[in-house]
Amino acid sequence: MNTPTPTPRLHRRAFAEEEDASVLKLGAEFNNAGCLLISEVRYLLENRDKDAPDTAVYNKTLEYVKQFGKFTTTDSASAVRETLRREPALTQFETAQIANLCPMDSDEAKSIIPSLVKIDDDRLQALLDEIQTMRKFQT
Amino acid sequence: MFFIKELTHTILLHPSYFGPHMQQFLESKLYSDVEGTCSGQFGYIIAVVSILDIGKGMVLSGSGQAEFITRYRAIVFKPFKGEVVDGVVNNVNKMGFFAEVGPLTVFVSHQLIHPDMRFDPNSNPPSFASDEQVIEKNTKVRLKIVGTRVDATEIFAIGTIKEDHLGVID
Amino acid sequence: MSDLENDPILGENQEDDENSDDEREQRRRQKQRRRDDDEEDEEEDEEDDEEDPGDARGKKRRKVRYNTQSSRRLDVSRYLDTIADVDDDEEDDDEDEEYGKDDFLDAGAPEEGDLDDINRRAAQHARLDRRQQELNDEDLAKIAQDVTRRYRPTTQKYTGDMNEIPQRLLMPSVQDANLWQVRVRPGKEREIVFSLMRKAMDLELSARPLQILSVFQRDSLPGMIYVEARSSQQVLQACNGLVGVYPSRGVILVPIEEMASLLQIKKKETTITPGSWVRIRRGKYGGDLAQVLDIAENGEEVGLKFVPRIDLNPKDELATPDGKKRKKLASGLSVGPRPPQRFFNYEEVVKAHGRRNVAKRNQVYVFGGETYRDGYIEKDFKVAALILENVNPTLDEIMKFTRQEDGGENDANVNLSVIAEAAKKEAITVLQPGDHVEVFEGEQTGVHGVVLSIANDIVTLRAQGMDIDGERVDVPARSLRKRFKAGDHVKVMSGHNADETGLVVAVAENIVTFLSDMSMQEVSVFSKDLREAAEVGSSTNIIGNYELHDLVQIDPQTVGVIFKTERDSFRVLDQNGNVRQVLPHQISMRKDSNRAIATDSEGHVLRVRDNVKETDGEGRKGQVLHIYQSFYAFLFNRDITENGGVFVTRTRVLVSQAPKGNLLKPGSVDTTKMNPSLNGGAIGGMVGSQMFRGPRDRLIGVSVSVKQGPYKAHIGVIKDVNGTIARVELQTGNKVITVDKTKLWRRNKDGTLEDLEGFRGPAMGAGAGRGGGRGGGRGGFGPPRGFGQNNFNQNNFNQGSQNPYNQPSFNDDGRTPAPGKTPAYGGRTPMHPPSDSRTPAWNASRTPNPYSGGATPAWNASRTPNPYATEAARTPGWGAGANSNAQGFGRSPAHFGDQANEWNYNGGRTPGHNPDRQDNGWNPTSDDLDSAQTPAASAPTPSAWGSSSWGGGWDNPRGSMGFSAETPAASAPTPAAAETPGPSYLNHDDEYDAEHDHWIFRYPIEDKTGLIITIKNGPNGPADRYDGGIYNGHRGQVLSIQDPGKLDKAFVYIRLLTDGKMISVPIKYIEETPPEKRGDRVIVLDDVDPSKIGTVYTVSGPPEGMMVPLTNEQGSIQMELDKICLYRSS
Repeated sequence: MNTPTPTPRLHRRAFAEEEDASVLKLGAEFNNAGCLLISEVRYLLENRDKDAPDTAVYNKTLEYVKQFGKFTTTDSASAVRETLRREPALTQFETAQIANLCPMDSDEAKSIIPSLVKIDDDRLQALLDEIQTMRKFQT
Repeated sequence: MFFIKELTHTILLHPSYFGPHMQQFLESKLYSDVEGTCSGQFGYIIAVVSILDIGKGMVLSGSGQAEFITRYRAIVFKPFKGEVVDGVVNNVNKMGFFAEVGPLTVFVSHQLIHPDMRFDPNSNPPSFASDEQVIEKNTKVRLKIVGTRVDATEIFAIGTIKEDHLGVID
Repeated sequence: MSDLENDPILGENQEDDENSDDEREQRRRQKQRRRDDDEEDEEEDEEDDEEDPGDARGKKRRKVRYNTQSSRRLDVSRYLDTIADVDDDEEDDDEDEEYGKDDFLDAGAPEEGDLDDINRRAAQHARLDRRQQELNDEDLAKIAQDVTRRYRPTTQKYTGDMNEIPQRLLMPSVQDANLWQVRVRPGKEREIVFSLMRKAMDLELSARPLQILSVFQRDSLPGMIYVEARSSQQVLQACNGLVGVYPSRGVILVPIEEMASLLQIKKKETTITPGSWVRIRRGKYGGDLAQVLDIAENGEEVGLKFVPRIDLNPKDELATPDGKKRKKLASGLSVGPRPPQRFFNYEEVVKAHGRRNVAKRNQVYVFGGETYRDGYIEKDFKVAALILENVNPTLDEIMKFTRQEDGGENDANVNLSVIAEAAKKEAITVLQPGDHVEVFEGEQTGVHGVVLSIANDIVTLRAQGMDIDGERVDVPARSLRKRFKAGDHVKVMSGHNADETGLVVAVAENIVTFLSDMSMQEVSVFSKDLREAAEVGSSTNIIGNYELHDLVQIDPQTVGVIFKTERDSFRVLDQNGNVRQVLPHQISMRKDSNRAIATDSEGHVLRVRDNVKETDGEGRKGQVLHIYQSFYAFLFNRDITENGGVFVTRTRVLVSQAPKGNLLKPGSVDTTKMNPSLNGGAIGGMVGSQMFRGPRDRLIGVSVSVKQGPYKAHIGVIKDVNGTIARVELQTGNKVITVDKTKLWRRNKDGTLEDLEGFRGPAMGAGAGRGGGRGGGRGGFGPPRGFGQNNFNQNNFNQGSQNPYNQPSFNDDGRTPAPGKTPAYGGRTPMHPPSDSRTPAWNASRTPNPYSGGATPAWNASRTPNPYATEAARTPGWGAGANSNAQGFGRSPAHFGDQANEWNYNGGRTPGHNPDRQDNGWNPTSDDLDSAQTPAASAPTPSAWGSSSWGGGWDNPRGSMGFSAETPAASAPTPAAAETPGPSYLNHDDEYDAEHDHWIFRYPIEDKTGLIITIKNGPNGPADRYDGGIYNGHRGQVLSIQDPGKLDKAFVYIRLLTDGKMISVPIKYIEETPPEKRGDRVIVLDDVDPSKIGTVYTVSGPPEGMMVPLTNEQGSIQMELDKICLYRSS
């Protein structure tokens, strides 16, 4: 009567590192992986020598990158990369995020990419301005 | 976020495929096997960019099949919690809306939409609307992924637009 | 235990008991001593000393028996001189009997006793004399002294302070009085205890005092009192005449080990505070949630507030002016014994019950003796009538209590404090290490962190954030709550939504709203019921064998797709677009539409998993989940909220969203299978090969007799079988009953009964066939007698299969292994026109067979049978599964695997299906479900089987088992093999017959590896010698046999007895080795007694046809010399 109902031995949950892009935790597989700009993906997909696979994933992605690729030419895309490379503190992920989202000012940038807090507002603003210009004047 | 990533894939080849066209078989097999798939670890594998190494076929004892461990480079898409992405609204209902971010579907609950934006049941197509903004099908939105769920064949995410600089974009 | 310590009665009683027990013990031992001789006595003593008191009872019983026996024996022996020194219980019995017998015999024929007997008797006499002498010699005083010395208590009695007695010594033992449980009127327990006490005091000094020792009652055990007494009689006596005691319902003895715990039970402290939640235990409001308003001072009565259940349609009032209104209400009521929960509404009640019955006092209505305020009923309850623990109020229930004063329901804003209160208590129990929690009250309010450990009520957590990040904080569990944030993936642990998983979208205090993974609906639950979960709610979308989006057969006309799984049921959308709730057992099977195809509106092929769009109607898009009968398509689109995104439409209105050609994409080919392009047109063959349906259950149509139950001895015919249940149509009364299969006998034509599924029964075809010699013996298996599977043979084109003798073409020399069966089953081989393969028997089997692998893709969907689904069963190819001989022709191992599984699951027990299997030891253990030896486990490659199944497989089933075990099990099924058209199998057959006639393959010997063979010249004259004849005449022990199917390619691998060398010898060079002398170990090469191993007793008779009587465990038999072969035991 007084035997306690046995509580199931619970599996000890591993305290796995939680992925959180806002603090640049992308998990073991992606922390150091090369990020692609949407524009680059678009270029890669459009210039694929193979037949396009007919998968929903591929088709949706193609549609997406066409819609959201900010830089239409390979030149402008690589120019953006070049620009952002000047700022050594930027990680791959941040670079791609800046280029993909093209925030107007440093305030917005830090809001949508929280890990950018490490970068001085003015320097960030300068970068952003440069990117905006490139975007405007891409051929 | 799109990544370019080196991955491996194991292909079993029946002996009847051995021969001059084996390479071709392997390649097309790889493409069809991995492109468009999704895993929790790597996210969506959108497209194979290049095959790095088709692998040395190792004939398995017993079956006669050859096992090829191929290495290839692929474009993968993996959403992360905390990541801000742009997407297109696909479906709106009173609980919130679904947006498509490439292959990923993100649900933004009405709880994670600014209270100013209210579901307008009378609109056609259905929409969330505030004084300035309207979210309906095909609206482009900027949203932040707050959580993901991965199952065998797809990733599903929920997002929020209830923060600064998020919401409708032009 | 404190009760026990302070209980003088108990303590005293214990002493008494010990004393009396000591006495008893002594008496017993004296008696015992008188009987036993000294030696034995010593032994007994030792035993006794070692005994613990717990064993005493049993010992006592044994001793008593001794006594009676010994006294009997003494009585007898005194006159009959039969006493013997016996000290074993069992022997006692035996010998007692024997003595009786002996005596009787002696009396009848005293002179008959032989010498031995007389001697024995003499010894007995002597012993008796000696013993009596001894007894007499011993000084009686000395005996007494001995006794006291020996049996005085070994330990001194404890006389110290009773308060310090170790607790374990106080535990009740057998010597203590027993505890009896007596049923009393619930609620009166305490009163009855008191009245018993008064009664005891009253009668204490009378002539007949109550003999009970104590009485107690526990609040936690309502309706019972416990009386301590030595016998139930005393209890009954005490309870006699008391009102509210129900001794008629049994006075139950409480086992000793439970006595202490009875007293230990503490009624759990349940503190009732105003505002807390309780449930009403029984009555009209049984199970209803109630909120505590106030508590009476004695703590026994509680004022509750809850939603009333007023009958607004009292039956006794028939006509009232506003009958219409009431009718309307009535129709809204459920037809149940109790009215639904409904807030008190003055107008409604007045209408129903009349104004006179309802009174208003201040803010309160009084109706029917109850008080109603603000729509709620307020009533006092006794604590005992309430459930205080595990109340677990649901959100819905609590919402009912958030009604505002004005009576309007306030469902927008949940009164969070109310709910928090409700949830608080539970929170303690559900925390686990690793949970994210936050402190919501006390000093550390606002701290959050991860639970590290839990010790009782104190939770240690590692704080996160703030300035104490990483520090360990101890917090009482009750001030913690689980913490979730938007985006967390959570799983519901308990409650209505248990097992649901989802992503959190909002958190408000301790109510978490998440978006269900399954239904895409928002669900709100208490955070206490949640935990973070890595896994997707996989547990929720699989119930039994079915999972989300499976196509399932609901009834013969209806299929549906599961679009939602609930706790233990499914929501299914059927092909007509209706939604129904289905329990797993209502599903007859899962259908696999993976290979189903249909044509879309443009005439293109539509397959499962295509993305399509409707051309008319709503123009819905979706992915094809399933296609049914090439007409209905079940589509899935997550964006559609209705029915979980699943909808059904006609394939004709669909158009593919991504146009594509008819050809399979190159990459979609399974490269682990045979290259289809190398097959030519074999694909068609493959389809053809799978044209047959699964058989109906072999038991259907079987005549049976009911073994037990109300229908015992009734005779009937099995109409249907579902799992272990058979539906039997009785011969009498034209009635169909449902009976467990185990309760049925199979009834043979001659009226004999046998086990329904037993294949070792006497009516085996094998048994009949054996006498017919080799070929005949095998053939005899073909037509099983009276088994349902007759159908297989009879309906196949090969009628002759039933009689091997009529089939010379198949059976030239009668040695073909069961030729009858081969063609019979061959009727289902691919190359036969479907009409052949679809024999009536098969057609009749449309009912889904719970066992079989089910229909093949040819039938549009391979079905998974419901209850016994196995992986293998899902693969098509049942037909081949039945076709055991197919292996011999190198047919697909896939089939084979299938079949083997089949056998594992039921076939093994259903011999008639293919009786020769068991007989040949094909799969001797196939009735063992776990048999590792089943051929399935070996999954051999076709070619391997081609070689072994004829040679090893038939003549040497054991050997073949071994062989197959060597074949790597990993080999994948080869579709090409399945397509191997079998047209030439008849030729094969002949070929085999002609070439395969070698003695070593001929006999169904279990293990040929021990055979000792002699190397001889080949059949083609002296020139035909093995290795130039150097080994001629040498003997060797067979190690293995390699049989590629042709005689001239078959080898035996032997170890020469002469020098131990191992060589491979073509089988044409070997012959059996006859035994030479007595003691030789031989094996019988015969169909009658295959693999019987024995030792030669003598070799005798003329040189031709010597007879060799040989012996083994079973007895001796005579064998002709050429029917036996030397045999070496491994």
